[in-house]
Amino acid sequence: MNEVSKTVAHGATHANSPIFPKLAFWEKIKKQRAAKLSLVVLLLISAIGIVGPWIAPYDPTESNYEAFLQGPSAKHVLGTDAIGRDLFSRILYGTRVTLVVAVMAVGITVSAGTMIGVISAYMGGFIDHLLMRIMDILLALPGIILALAIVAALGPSQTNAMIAIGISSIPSFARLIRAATLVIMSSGYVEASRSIGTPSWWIILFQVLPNITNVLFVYMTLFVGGAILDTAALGFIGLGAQPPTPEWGTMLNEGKDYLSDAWWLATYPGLAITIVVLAVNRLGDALRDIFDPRTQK
Amino acid sequence: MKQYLLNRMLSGVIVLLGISIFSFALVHFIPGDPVRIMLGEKATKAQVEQLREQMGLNQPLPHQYLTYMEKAIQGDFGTSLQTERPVIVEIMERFPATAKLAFAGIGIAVVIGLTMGIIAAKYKNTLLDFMLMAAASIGLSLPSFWLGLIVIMLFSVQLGWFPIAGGTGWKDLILPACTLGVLSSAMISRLTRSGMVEVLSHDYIRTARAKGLRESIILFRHALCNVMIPVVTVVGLQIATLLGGAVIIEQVFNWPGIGALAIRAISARDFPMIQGIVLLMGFVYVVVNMMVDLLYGLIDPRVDLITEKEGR
Amino acid sequence: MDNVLEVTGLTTRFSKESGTVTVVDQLDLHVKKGETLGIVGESGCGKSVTSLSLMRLLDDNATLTGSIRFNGKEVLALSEAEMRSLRGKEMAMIFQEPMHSLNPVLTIGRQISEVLHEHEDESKAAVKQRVLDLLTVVGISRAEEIYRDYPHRLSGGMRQRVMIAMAIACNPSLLIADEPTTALDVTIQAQILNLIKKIRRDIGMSVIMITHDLGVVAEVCDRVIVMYAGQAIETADVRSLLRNPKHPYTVGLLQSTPRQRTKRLHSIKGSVPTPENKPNGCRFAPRCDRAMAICWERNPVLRPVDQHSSCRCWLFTQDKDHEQESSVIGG
Repeated sequence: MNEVSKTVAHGATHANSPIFPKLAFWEKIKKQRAAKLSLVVLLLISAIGIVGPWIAPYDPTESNYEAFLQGPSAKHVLGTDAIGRDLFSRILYGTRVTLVVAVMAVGITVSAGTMIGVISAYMGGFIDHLLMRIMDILLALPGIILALAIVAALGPSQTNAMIAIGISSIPSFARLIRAATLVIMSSGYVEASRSIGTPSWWIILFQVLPNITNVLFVYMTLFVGGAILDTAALGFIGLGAQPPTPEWGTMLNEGKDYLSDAWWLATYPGLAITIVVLAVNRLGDALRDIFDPRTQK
Repeated sequence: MKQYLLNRMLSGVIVLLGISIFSFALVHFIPGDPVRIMLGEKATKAQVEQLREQMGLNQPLPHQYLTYMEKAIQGDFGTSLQTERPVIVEIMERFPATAKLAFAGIGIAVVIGLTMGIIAAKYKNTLLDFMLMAAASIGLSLPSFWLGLIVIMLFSVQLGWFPIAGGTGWKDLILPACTLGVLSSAMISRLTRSGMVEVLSHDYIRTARAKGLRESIILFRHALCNVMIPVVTVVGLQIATLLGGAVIIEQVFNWPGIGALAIRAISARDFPMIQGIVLLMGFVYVVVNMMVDLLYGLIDPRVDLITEKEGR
Repeated sequence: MDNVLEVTGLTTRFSKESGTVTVVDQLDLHVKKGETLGIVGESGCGKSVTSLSLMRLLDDNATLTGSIRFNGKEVLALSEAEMRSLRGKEMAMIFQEPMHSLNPVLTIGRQISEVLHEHEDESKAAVKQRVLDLLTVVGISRAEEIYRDYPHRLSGGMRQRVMIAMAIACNPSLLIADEPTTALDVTIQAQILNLIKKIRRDIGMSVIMITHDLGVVAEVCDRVIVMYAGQAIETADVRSLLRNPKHPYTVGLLQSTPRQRTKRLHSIKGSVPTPENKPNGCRFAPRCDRAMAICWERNPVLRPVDQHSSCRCWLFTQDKDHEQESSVIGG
């Protein structure tokens, strides 16, 4: 008899689970080794981003005319570039540049994308239709082309690259947030609040937003990887951070002229990008598995 | 089916209109006086006025847009400020190279992606599956241009198997197309795997097993046909991304396509050229998507039903 | 050998992250040539898993023990390739959801003909002719038209007819029908049942009819096994089962079948225990009105009650055994 009553009680707790389950976050993430590892790597990289300038052995912009294109050695761990700058120091400094640009860009994407997505889903009707049509049109352009077009209008610079990358991801982010909001909107409590005349801003601020934080967080992580890649791509084609800024993409652009003489110049900055993006993407995937009920089995 | 294609074409036209507005508006996003920025500080007042006149920037906005569209429909996208040749001519000279690269890349991506996805799904939760999906994860995290550089260093510089860069022949195509294709296959393989895993759990697969069919027939006839439906949709969406990726890859391999043209135009702030390229990209996207929709209609016999539902 | 199928001690276990669960537990059954055996029970009692076990169609995480002898062959000892040549040819199956059981992107003709191509060596033209004949046999009038059509254009009843055509394509000696009429309209249900009966007579195959509907049992079955929580709890010929049910669960099932005379519909309280949470004693005890002390302690075994039926219940266990068990509890 006990067995049976236990089953019933268990069934009852299941029925109450929210649409996007709020799980014991750390408990879950500890279970996922990949997530844990990428989190550690990311924390390490962020630490480098912060203290990089203090641990770097050389000034990243100071040229040393006695050490051109030197291979990795005890003195220069990752070698030197065409004007004798220490590659290792430049990569350390570049961590900060890359992280700041990517995070700011995603900040733009998330704030504008969330606003558009939530408003679109909440208002519905004509406004929803119009906003989503505009998003569709912008989605027709490859993200990088959209970013290039914006850079073209604003002029090539690191700040403008950041703005352009941020804007170019808004359409897809807004679409995702709109979908998540629609799920919340169709739940009983939002309908109930609306029917008793709760003001819209209250519903959006205290009922919709808290319930999409999980999804928002997951998507945000998934977008950071793309933003880092785009930042580096713009730097690489010379339309992002401008020399002598030690940005990884820009460094690869400088290195591409020395492929046969100095392999390290075209290797290590790319490796740095890959490691950061891989860590961010793994974390994003793990978070999605944790929070997104659709991918749970 | 007819209704379905008509709907798709209509939304394609709307997207094109939107992109034309966007590319038109681009000039007006420029902070400050666009003409001054285009011509540079050294230009005389007369030159500035002349260009303003030439680009019609002194007219009211709606009038400007209509003139712009009227010309665009006739194939006149203006004159490049750099080379002073018609934009359309420059673009058409470069476009075939980009298209060649992009399509070769898609071909490679689809073949590799489908194969990896099917194998991973078939051997779900085994070491092989884990390794294939780990490879896909890394593929999604690699900067395309860096992979391109590594590939050049390895196969051209070290091994000397391929010319370093700069040509447009078939031998020059192999490395950039493989770089592009391998990277794009990561997304397709993930999607194919998850689609395949889902399809394999469907009742009709159980029916196929109950009929005593061979595993290969179940996989390739019964499962793959169904997986192709979402895969085709996403490959269609990916084509836009691939074109964008091609722009970057072109820079690595000195491939004389639209990418190099775009980058040069942006550096020189050659706006008629930039507008032309943006319009072209949008046009290609719309055309490719129409082709995908057509293909979709061929693969999935239920398309007529779907449109009926949408229409309601 | 007059039995097409003889199953003894069939046990199906699934290994899951949380441990192993036993879904079918020591099941014995046999099917004679030309006979229809019904397997009855509520959803979750293990009847579908039983049918999939017989065809060895379960996922990799399932383990089967016991013995399944089919036409003199030990099914559990066959290689996967040998098993494949059995499926669809000698042993065929139709499913509950004709909606989802057909592949949406392949034509009906293709889906039926591939069975013949797989198991029989015939020319394309001959196969096509046989498929058209089969469609006519299962009562589809515009066979040529349907041959070229896709599943989504057919009604549920039509789809189930197509499934039957597919199943009988190679004249199997056993057809397993897993709730073939549950998803259909009442009028269509009768048509499909009659079709199955007619085909069974015509080609002399045996049928295992899996259902939760005693009406279906009364209509088509010769003998019945009632399953509860993975075990057979009563087996009987169809007449005795319907007229004189023994096990309290069978009685409950019969009383919960809507009939004209009974005004109020009976319902069995509670639900089937999940395989993870089976009671220690009789698995039906928590829901049984007549449960005794012993029912909570020990699970009874399936014993013959009279010449027509066997039952797994302490109520029908001989007094002597009963006393013995009681004294165990008392002491």
